[in-house]
Amino acid sequence: MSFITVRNLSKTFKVVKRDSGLKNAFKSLIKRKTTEIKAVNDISFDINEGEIVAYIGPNGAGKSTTIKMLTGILRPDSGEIIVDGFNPFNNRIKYVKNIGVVFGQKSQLWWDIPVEESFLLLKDIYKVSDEDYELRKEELVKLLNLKDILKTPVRQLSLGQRMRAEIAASLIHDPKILFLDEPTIGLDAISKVEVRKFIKEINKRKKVTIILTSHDMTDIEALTDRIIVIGHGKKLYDGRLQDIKKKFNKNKKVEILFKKISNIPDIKYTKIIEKKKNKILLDVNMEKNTISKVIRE
Amino acid sequence: MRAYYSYFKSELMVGLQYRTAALAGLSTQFFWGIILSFIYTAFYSHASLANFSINQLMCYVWLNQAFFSLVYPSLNDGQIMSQIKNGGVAYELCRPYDLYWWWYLKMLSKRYASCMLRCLPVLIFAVLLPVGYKLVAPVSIISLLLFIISLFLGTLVITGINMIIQSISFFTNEDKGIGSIFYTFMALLSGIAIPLPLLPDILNTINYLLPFRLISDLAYQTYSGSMVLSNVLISIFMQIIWIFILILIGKLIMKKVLTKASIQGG
Amino acid sequence: MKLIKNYLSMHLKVSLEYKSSFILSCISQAIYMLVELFTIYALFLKFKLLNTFDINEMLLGFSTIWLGYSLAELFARGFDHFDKLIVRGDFDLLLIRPRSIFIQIFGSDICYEKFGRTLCALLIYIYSASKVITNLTLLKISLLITMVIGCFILIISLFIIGASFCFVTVQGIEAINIITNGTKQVAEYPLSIYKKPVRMFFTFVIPIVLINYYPISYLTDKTGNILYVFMPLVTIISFIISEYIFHIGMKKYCSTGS
Repeated sequence: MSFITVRNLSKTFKVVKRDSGLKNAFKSLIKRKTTEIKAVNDISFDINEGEIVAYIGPNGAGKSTTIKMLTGILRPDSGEIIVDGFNPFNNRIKYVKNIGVVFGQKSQLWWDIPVEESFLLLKDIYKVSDEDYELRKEELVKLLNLKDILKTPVRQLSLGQRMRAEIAASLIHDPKILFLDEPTIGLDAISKVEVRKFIKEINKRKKVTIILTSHDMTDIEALTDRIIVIGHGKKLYDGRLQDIKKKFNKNKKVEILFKKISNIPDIKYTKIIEKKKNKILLDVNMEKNTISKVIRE
Repeated sequence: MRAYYSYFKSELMVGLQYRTAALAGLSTQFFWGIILSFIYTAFYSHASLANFSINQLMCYVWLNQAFFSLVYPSLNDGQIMSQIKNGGVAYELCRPYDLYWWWYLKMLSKRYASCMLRCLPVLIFAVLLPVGYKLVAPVSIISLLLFIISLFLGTLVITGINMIIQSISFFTNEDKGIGSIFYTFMALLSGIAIPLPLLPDILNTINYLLPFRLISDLAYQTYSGSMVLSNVLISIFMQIIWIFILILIGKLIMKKVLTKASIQGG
Repeated sequence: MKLIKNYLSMHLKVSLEYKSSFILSCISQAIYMLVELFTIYALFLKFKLLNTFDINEMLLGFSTIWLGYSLAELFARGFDHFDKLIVRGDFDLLLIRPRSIFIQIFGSDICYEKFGRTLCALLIYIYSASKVITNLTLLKISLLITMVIGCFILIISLFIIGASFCFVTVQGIEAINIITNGTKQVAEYPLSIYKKPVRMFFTFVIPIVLINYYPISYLTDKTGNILYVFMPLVTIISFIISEYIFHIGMKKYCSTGS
């Protein structure tokens, strides 16, 4: 059995529907119209230990609902989640000892006091022994380059520094799984690259299984091979990133400018879409052909 | 003037948007009025007062609940302070009107918008209560008229005070401590914490010349007739004088604040 | 235990980051309470009731409720302002930690600004108790302690019930706040001034009499019934009820989300 097993996971929310207008506003005071939204609809997947998996989809696709169920915050309506032998919701307290979570838009650090103080509190929350704590702190400080910011109050940190501290905070208790919910949101390009580097490093060195969500395709490209795409609560794709790229980027449009149009040869796997005075638009199948080959001909 | 009117309207719309919040606020007013009337009737069951009957007291309690947002000491949201601090004042300085009056009317319209949403339900509720707890009719048409006038003037007094406190708290650079200490005493002296006729006479004698009793106490006592007519007229005259004094002081401090703010580069 | 200590010290550090503002709010909170006390005194003065009611007994009742209330505000602000925890989504962060939710909510906010008020109430409490009690026994001392604890527990229970409403609607907390504040307001006065229905309410619905009215009559030797000494502990029942309600709310939250 794999490390994380998700089978036929579903979750439905009731949403109050409000019509505009004063009359309807009063009506909804008495009787509320609710509609059901299937946030997560029959999703299954497996993840192996040490993998980095990106979970992607548009806003409202059900990403964070799935993450919330995987972290034991929400109870699934139906279906099954087994992570490392635990059912996240039913064995919440035992289970969460093994996971670390970073919500890009929320902070687990204390705003007004130095970063290290927050670490110490987390150390107590997770009952980490003094020796283990010192060891891990040193390791994380080296890995995430935190030396200069450990004594600084969080409010004085830049967003990139803060995110590094957040990631470190979620690793203090040496979790087996790390959930990263939009870890690079709002960061500038350089910080993004840094954070990605650290995530990869952590995965490699500590063999932590990482599940991340992001809207940033470059994030995903840099970090992982495997992606799970979800839309309207359903799983749309699960596999290698290259494969999906190939699938959708199979054909490329090529515009070629000529000084003078001579006879256009009939090229294999290529369709002529448009033909103008000195310009042709070609549709090239990239799997079987390359652009340079087309131009040569 | 149109700008102020549309600001008033948008405040009202915002208030209407948050219906549950308005409802919660309304129930606070209901329950608080009930709790206070229980406490005060307990005292009246032990003894009675010569110049302040239980009916007059109930008028006081319920009018206070109904017009709470008009006269409450610190209804302002500290918007001005934060605007000066975060540099948003630069926007305001670009607008084609006097800054003091813009903020003054903003605060005033916030009070009226908030009051419009809750005063009527509270009044209806209070009128329907059983005898001994209910809001009775004003003693005469004249007193009703004077009530409306003095309540309106009272809102000008409180806004004048609010402007001064806000400006001062800019200098002390904090908006929780000094301001709230002041407002606590103001609640006591304006009749928000306890109807003024129930305070010791010595305190009321001192308080007579201060502006605080003119905020709401005057209006409520006019309504219930616990203050004699001649005194009411004198007090309304005092209201007008105080309004001018407060605005004058406020404008002076505001000027200082703005010079300081622009020096800071805010 | 170590965790609680850590929470306490963390919040103290936060408060001390803004020293002058912290001290000023401490003072202003205490002044608020004293003004409240003054209005009560003024009422008794006005109605010439100071002969019928013993002023020290009144002070004792007043300071009991304020001491319990301030302590609850100090240590249980996480419940008192639970709506913020839900709105900001920080409640989710508590759920991913391997510790009891209750301890974490207590630890999420500790409002040291209420310290000024607490200290002030404590001084009045000790002063009035020393005036009221003529022969101090061990039982009376323990009663003085359990009164405060009982009041603390009762107010916290109300906070927790209010917090449970937040799982349904965030605005719900205001409705419960009225009840909490209203209880405090009513209990500031000696309960014997009220008519029977009001007294009944505060006996059977919100049992404030257990921590205030009856224990004081034991302290002043109006009754020798030893049962009165243990009365404040009955509030533990209200705590259990509130905890139960909170868990129902949390279950709903976990199955519906925010």
